[in-house]
Amino acid sequence: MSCVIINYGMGNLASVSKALRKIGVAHSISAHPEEVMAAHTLVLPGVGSFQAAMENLNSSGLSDAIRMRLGSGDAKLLGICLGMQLLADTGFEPERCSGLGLIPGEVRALECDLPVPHMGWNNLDIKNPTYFGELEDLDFYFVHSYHFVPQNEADIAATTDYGGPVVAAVQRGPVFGCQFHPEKSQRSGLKVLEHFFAQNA
Amino acid sequence: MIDLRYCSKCVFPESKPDLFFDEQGVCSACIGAAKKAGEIDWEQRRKDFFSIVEHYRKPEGQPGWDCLVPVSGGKDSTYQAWFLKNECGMNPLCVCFETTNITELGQRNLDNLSDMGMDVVYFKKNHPAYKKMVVEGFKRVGDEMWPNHLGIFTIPVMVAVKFGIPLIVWGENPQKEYGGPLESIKNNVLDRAWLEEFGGLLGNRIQDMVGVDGLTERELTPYFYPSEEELKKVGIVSVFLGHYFFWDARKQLEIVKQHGFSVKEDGPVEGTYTNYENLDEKMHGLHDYLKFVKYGFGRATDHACIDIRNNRLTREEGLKLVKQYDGKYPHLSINEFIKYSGMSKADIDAIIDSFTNPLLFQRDEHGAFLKDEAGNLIRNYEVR
Amino acid sequence: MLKVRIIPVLTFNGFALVKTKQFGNPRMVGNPIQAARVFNSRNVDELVFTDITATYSGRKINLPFVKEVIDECFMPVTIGGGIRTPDDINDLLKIGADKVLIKNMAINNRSFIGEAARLFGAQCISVAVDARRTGDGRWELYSKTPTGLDALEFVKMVEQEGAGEIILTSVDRDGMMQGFDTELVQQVLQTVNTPVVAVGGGGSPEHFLELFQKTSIKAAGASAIFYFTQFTSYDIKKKLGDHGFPARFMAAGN
Repeated sequence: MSCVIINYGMGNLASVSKALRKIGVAHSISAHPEEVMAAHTLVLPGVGSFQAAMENLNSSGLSDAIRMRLGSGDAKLLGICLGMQLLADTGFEPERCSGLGLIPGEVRALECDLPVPHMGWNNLDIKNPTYFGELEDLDFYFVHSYHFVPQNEADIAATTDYGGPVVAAVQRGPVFGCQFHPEKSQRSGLKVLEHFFAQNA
Repeated sequence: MIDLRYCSKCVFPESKPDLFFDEQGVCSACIGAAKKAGEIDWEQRRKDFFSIVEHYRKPEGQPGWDCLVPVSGGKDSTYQAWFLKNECGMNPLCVCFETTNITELGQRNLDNLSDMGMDVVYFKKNHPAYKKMVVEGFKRVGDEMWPNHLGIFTIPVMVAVKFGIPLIVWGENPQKEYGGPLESIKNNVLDRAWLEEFGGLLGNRIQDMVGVDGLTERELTPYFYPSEEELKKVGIVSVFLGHYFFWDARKQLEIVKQHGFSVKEDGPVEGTYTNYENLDEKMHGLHDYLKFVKYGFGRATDHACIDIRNNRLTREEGLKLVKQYDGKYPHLSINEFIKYSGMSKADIDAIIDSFTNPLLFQRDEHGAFLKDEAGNLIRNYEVR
Repeated sequence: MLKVRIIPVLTFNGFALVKTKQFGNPRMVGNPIQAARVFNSRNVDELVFTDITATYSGRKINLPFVKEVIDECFMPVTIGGGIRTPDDINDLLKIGADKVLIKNMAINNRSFIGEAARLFGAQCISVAVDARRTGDGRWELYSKTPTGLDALEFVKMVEQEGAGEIILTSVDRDGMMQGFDTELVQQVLQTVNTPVVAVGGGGSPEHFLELFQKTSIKAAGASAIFYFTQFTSYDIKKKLGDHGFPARFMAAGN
């Protein structure tokens, strides 16, 4: 079962790769649509702005490849941080633009009295335990200024509290997204990754 | 090649932790030693020490230990014990925390202590628990002697607390000045903070070991330092003999040799040119080598500096010995460690490499450290 | 709920880890790999690693070496030292840094912060603000060459430029282990809404408790306490947790 970490010029590829190595998942890093089409598991990392990310994904043909590959029914995708936000229909960072459209919803700026970005360890309220399993410790590392608001509550896999509930993870079929960084959340994060890779698409 | 500065008087390099150089390029160890030789009123200090001894001596006509001396079987602690018994007329209790893998010579020298007419508490530790810490200490902080450092400081203090012996006499003076007349030493509690800063624990704490390989607090009992309350209740006071008497290791060696202390007859100890230090531990060469890979100098440098400062060697002679003996790959200790830990040589070497400072030693284009035919690292600096 | 962050700060001189006192008298304290391993085994919240001599020696940070340190860590790592161009930032992010710490460029060219935040995202950009009391109730922004800037004015600018985080160090309290400069911290928190990490003076769990009780800080960094005392981040968090602050506890072991 091949795994590809998608390189679209904006992501902490090294950390994600290191985490996958630690849990023993063979993988490659690629910027080529053909390799995305040949993989069974896709990992979409991301650090930076929504608009810039989509421009890169679109111009390289990667966004089409991702949609086509998932459409075939035997692949799954993990989106991390910005990579999770890109799963949405629409983003607003810095201006309104279209996302991958894999999970209906919008990505809006975090608006609360608390400092922004939401930065640090926060605990999850898990709604859909498919990829979480039994966790000793529910604190995960977050660092983001925008958040995903899915159209359907059923797509929310977990929330966290930061001036009110904030979506921490989304899941729709074979597509799973984490607002937090599992590759930076030590044991708990590595456990979530292990669960994701252990499940079939 | 990098430009590594050396002391203009001894042969310590600037890479040694806690070392400073003055404008003439003389290192702080040399400056401290000169101060010791010149500015100190040793007569007064000697008087101070004997007044302390008198204060803590238990009354005649009754059983009791007047003081506690932490010992290893090495020449320094043997000398300390001898000094307190023979020169001060005290009845010391010697306390030894068993080393990792004692040599025959080490065992003989330890047994000799009781032959010298003193009681010795020989603490034999829970071996499986200790071994887990040896391996973890090696992997985590690059020191397989990590639990030993902890044990040799903690067990004597624990025994002093439990046996109600307030005065503990240690050996040479550490970095921090720790001594003074009777009135001032009441505050010399060698507390946990001192241990963490100066005990060579490399930032790892005993509580970090709980849970490693299933280790429990119970199994780690000998390594938890007594609390402030326990230390205060007994009135534990620690003094360093080296604060009160000019420390001359070679002279002390001659004295203890007359009282049954044996040295290595068949050549120097691994990693240095001397045959009278670190005789007790089979794997000491590995510990010393790890220091070398981290900081670029090893045991031979330490010994040469002491001999230079005591005017037994010129700087030139010291440099020659360093170039000849310092930092050689410790084949014997490594073999012992393979047997002891069950780790493979490849894994052991990989861990050593991870602690090797890439600025100090030459590497090939793939990043692997270059080694000569004998397996020694190639320096990226000049010893001068 | 968001947990308090306790962050070990490692200062590097290009060769080994050092610890300063009031930003002077660097004392060599050891090897970065062993420190990283110890902190990773303790599951600390984050790590800050900065090469404090890079800019002054006119060199860049040693990337392969820093990569080795980062590889030991499975928690967020902030790396600083000699950052002058966007390429420097990119190089660090490529080897796995989560955030970069900018100091001298922020002082000499404030628009660099904004540019970096736009290119890489605000959450990657931390700015180091070193503050020293001037004796008349103010704090100057401290650097090897005098800046003549007021620290509070400076943090306002840093926020405006869009940095994601401010690492605020009290020069007076650095390495002294006598408690934090809580006045400085509270003034900065009242001035900006950017997340702040308070550093300088934390020598015992009580100091941290005092800091969290007297100010609205959510994160504190420390260095000397981890080299020179028996306390670990667990002891600090336990103290805070016992007094009602939300802290993250991880069981020991690998």
